[in-house]
Amino acid sequence: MPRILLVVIIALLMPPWQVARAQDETAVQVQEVRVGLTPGRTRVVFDLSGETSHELSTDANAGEVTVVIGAGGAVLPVQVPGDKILGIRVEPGPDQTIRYVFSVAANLRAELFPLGRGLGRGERLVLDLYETEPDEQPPAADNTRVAEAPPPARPSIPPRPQRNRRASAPPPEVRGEWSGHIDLELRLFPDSPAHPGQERQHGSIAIEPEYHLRLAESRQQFGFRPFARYDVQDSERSHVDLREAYWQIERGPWLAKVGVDVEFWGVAESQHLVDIINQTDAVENIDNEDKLGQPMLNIDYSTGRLGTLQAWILPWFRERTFPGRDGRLRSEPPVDTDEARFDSADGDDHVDLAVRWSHYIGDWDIGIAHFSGTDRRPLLLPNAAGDALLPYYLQVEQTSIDVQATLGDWLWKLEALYNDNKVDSYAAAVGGFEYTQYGVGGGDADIGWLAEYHYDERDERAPSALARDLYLGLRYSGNDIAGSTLLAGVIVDLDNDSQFFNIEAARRWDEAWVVTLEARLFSNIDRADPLYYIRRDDYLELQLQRFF
Amino acid sequence: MFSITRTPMLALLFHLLLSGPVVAAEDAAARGLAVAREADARDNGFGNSTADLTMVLYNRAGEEIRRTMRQRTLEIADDGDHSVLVFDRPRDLKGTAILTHTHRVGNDDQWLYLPALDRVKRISASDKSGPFMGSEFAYEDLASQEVEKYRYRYLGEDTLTEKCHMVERVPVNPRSGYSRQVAWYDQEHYRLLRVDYYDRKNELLKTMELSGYHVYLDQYWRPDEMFMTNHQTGKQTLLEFSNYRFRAGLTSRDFERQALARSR
Repeated sequence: MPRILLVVIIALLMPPWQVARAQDETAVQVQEVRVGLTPGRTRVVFDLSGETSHELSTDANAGEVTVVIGAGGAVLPVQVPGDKILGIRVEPGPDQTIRYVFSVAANLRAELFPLGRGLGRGERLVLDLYETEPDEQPPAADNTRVAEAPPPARPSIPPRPQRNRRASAPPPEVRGEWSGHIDLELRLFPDSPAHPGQERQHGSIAIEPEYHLRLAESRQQFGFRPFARYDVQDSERSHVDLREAYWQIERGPWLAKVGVDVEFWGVAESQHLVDIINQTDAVENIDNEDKLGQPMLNIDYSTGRLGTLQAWILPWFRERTFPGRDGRLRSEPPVDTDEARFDSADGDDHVDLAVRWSHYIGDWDIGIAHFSGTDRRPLLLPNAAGDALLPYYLQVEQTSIDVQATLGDWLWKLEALYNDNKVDSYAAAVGGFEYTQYGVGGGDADIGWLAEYHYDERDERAPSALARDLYLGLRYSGNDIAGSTLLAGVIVDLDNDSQFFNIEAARRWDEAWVVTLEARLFSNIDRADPLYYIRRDDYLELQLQRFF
Repeated sequence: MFSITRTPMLALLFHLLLSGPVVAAEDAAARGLAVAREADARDNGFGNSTADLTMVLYNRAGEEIRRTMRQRTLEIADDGDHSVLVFDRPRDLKGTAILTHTHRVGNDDQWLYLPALDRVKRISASDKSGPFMGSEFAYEDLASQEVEKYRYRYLGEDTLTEKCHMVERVPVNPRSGYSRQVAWYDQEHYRLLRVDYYDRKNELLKTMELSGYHVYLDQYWRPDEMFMTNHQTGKQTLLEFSNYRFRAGLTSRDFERQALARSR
């Protein structure tokens, strides 16, 4: 339909001094008037600075619709699209009101209603002019026409005048930011302790601030992330660490990093088998997901075609943390971390090396790596007096592969390694799938089903609790504003039927808080299973995190 | 000059004569596709861009919740765009990033970076009908809108704030949350001004209004606001874009999986 430009009679009948007076005396102002079209309807929106009185009158003979608003100001719309409004007149009304008189086409039905607060706007008052003649339908109408759809809850905003906006200034060359979180944690152990010195409740507090600095132009980054925990019961769990403190620079396909950082390898959910760069901070959680910062020199070379080749030089070995005599979730006797033994004569000064190639090809993500140096998982040997276990760190050559195939709703995962050492060389693997059902029951939530099988060539000799075990899990993602998630699973030892149940649920609370509930249960634990030490350490953990 | 259009009956007749018979069924598909292609062609050559996003979620009580993100986009000549979205708020997700390699045909590739574990995870992108961050936008609404992702049918002309082409878009992906969409492109610049989304039962589900368009580099139009109203729940989400930059010096290297961990 050729556009008919309508006549807008800009009749500002109020002299300027009168407008000024009205603004002085009435708190509410008309800030903007916008006109938008939807099929069959012309909508006029008055943006007001506050709630106020309003009144509608229609004079069919004169073809006028009048809106009286208890407000000052005399703003006219920038543009009046459509052909239903022929003219707009603004005049002062009685008692500090303002009268908008619309000259309109025939056969219009007018409605006036307040719409409440808009987005970044104040109160809104809406005048809708409905066409009442059915043959006014726009062309090409068929039964899928949107005219039948309910009108949008917000009218279209008139277009702003075209201008070639200058692109924004580049982001600051130096961009530095602090962030982080403080965690309050309470652990309740319903069962009486298996070992002397243990208690049934653990309270602790942790803080992990983070500073990150980015030099955009020169592609440099600096990261700093210390960590500290105070545990009321277990002095070994009270500890500090430097998770990150590095400087990094990128040049074309090259990246170099010097300092302390965390590097994750792997794809599986129930065990992080091939992940070896960082030592596990085992006092934090038995899920092995908390890592100690590792000093490193790291060089990456990556291209889209060849993937990424990475190399690490890792001086200063980090020893694993273990709960103290007062802590739950410990061995009996406890591990004495002050008496660690090393295979290498260099002890914890041994310089470890690692290389890794990773790439993605279509649906496949693959990583192949080799590590040469001090194994992160110690063997635990009783001391002469029999009152402590001593960690013994072997020198190993470990070659690993991790693969994920992402095929529609199915993720297929495999991690495998061969660990060559002087005591008991072995192969181990974990593999399985995660299948996701989206929008379960027509709602927003997704549910994932996980199954992973754990293999370790050493079987019953393996110091790991995962030798011939099956993991079954369920993951719930609410996709809601609170970001609700739940992961529940069980690991069953197929040799001795020991079971380890695990539930983690988390949600955001009032934007800056996250509440996490974690329950871990050990059931039917066989005397030969490494979990036997912690068979009575079922626990419920409530964690409250405040982010800043 | 077209004063006859002031008379409704004549106007209707005029349009029946002019446009009615032309829009035959098979032509409607070709014409709809032509509009989508034209819109796509006008966006060719932007190279790469960055923008800041603020997402404001309104519940039925009118309360607001804010999320902020940064987006980087790279135009790929023969395939869908690549993009990285990095979260700044809520704070517990700060540094979390999503990398998407959009494909014109088939599933997209997607990776998620979790800063708490320093872990990059390949995630399934087979079903994008779910809500993004609890908002009224689905992942598929925010994905790069490649021409090949829909079948088209020209519905006619309509006037919103400007004179528009109305085009029906039927998602090719059977996993889409929509049976069809109706999109309004303005006739002068082929900018998307509004989309009505119909659910799988063909009921009107949502309307997205795009406004505050500005032109960059004399050619590329971008909206300042995308406003989504869910008609079935009454909930609304505003997505505001600011600080658009074009040809910001990004390369394909910035959109590889390895770059995700250092994307913040």
